[in-house]
Amino acid sequence: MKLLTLTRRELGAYFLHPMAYIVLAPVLFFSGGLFADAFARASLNGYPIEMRHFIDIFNFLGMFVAPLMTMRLLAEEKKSGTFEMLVTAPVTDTGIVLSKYFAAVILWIFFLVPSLFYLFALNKFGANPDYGAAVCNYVGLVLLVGTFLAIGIFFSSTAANQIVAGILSFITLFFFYLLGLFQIESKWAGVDWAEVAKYASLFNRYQNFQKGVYDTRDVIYFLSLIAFFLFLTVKMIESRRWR
Amino acid sequence: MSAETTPPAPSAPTAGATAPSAPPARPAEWGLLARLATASNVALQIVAALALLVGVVYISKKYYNRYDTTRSRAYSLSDKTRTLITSLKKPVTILTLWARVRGGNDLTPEIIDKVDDLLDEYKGFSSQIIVKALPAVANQELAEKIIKDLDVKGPLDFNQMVVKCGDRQKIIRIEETFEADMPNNPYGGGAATLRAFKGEEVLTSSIRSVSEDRKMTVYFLEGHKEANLADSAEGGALMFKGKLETAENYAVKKWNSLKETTVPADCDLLIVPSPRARFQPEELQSLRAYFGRGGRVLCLMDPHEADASPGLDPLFREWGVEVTNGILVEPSPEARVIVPLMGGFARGAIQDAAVFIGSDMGGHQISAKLINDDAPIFELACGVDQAAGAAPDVTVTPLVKTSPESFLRTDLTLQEGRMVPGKDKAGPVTIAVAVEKQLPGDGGDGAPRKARAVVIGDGVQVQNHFYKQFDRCDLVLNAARWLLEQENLITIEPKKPEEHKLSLVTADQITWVQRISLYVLPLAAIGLALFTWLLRRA
Repeated sequence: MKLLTLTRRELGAYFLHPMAYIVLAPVLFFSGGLFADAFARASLNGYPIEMRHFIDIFNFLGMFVAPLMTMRLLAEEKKSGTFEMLVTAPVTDTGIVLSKYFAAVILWIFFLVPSLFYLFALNKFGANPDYGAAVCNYVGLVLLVGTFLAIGIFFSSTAANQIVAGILSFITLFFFYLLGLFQIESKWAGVDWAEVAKYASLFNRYQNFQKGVYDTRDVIYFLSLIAFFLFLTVKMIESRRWR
Repeated sequence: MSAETTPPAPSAPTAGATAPSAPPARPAEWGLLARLATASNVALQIVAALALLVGVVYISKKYYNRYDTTRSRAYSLSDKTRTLITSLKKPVTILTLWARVRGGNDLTPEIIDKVDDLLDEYKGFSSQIIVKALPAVANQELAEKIIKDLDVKGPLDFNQMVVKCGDRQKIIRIEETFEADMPNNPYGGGAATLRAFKGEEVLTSSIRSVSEDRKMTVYFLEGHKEANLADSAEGGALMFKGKLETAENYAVKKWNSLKETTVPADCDLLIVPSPRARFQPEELQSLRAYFGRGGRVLCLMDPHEADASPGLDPLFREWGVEVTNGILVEPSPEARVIVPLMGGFARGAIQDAAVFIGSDMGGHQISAKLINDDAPIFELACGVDQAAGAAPDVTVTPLVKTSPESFLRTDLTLQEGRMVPGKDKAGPVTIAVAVEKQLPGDGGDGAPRKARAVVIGDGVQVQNHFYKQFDRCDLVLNAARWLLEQENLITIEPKKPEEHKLSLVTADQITWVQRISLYVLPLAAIGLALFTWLLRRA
């Protein structure tokens, strides 16, 4: 119940602040631009058009949006002094972290809602969208960006300055992006590290969702990373007691 | 500060995430040692969590499930493929050599994406499937290293896959993995449409072919001035031999029928490549005996001077085939190929019309799919047709015919460029036939025993100069596959692509969609930002 109350408080902070909508506007502009272009070309040239062709941009945009959404979550509270009030409230550290995390995920889902218009347009103009694959795409986007958000919250808990937190999370996410591009063959101790790097890339793990395939490896990888970074965040908050 | 927020004893200061929150101030009695102990405890917890993370991910990588939610089950492998690849005893490496060039009406980039998706599925189901991609442009050194490490043989080209298992390999061209309808636009332009994606069938068949214990053996007959397997000159067959070995994974050997009276026991396919000297009756008997016990023969015949017949006609008649000596002339502009003729004895005006593309590919599986850019080219071909009065147990199927404007010149002394009625045979003329003879007994697996032969009236199809000029050998390779019953090692229903094209959309409707997605939705977000800002100010 406390978790629900805290999440609602965080959501209120998000939705009643212009920042969320300022971040949302470019997301919609870029994704809308890609869709409009794909739609026009498909109409004029008779190319097939599928949701996966333009929904991918959300995973790339997520890399920029997630740090913006999370950087102020704990860093700003520490800077403004409200953090002490929060942690002295009768809630657990885990409750604090989870409520902030859930609120950020719900905000991301809210960001995805306008893209349903694309699905509607495809349906209206006879492109026969594959709804099963579309749902899979959305689930993948929530898990992928959910992982970005967990990483973002962790860095927000480590830094006192929200800009520093944002930059650190972006660098980490960019590192995960680069892992997927790892090409050089590097075998050491009997392990092909290029393969390990490709497997560890968050973006590579999203590709099955993009095709409309649920793979338990991907789901477990995302959920494990989310749990790990949230655990680290809780530990960071707890550390104020003994540092 | 409540009791529950007081830090616990130093030995267990971090009682887990469920512990109530505590104020930041730590009790004064917390000394350095206590803090160090706590820090170590937390560090241990983090290491344990990290180990748990790695362990869970590792186990999930080993034991997993996939659920394909697409309507067409586009990413689901058939049971045949799953059974094959999960039972592989040796690793099979698939090397892709992709060159994606997007644009135009070329379907290649879309097919490459589909093949890559398919390879992901193969990889996902069996750890014995290893997929490597050769960088198309960058990192030449790495590309060469991969090819060397894998010991890939033969000339490679872009948009091919090499399926390799041990020392065996098979090359698959991207064109083999799909069927398409070309745009019906006389002025060019428009998009080609994918009719069927056959990637799984082709890949699974290839994996089976290279991972099988036994390798098919192809013998080339020699002793009659045939195209020589080891000869790299224009008239040799070295390049074709290489194609059979590297692309088709066959063992290629020679058999001299003048020296050995029986066809070797391990012969799966006997190729008679453009013989130019007469066969002895004993040799004909050897071929007859081989065919009679279910042998597979591919004969490539050429026009010849009247006194230089190889003398295979009695054998052909038994197969229900008639080879007519002469030169096929193709005046139809749609079928002619403007290239210089390499040699032979086409004289006068017909010389320019003796190189052409087959016009009617019939319905046989050897030739039916050889259309558009894959249509076979012939050079100095003779007529090969169904003979009258073939035995009832023999089925002869025409494979390729010329256009109705073509004609077969049987009197090679004539110089006229046009058809001479009464002397030339009017088109369309059949150039190649497939023969199947039912034999008594059981061929195993309950299937009837049968012998097969293909006769093509164009011997240059296996010669080096033909490869250098046209690089088109699909007719001969398809014939070899059919003869060896490898045309469909594994039959898997091709995937029909789902139609995701927009129905007729007007310019107004495009504008409407563009305005909403590009302007209305982002502006609505900006409007909400303004509204909340004003609300906060108020």
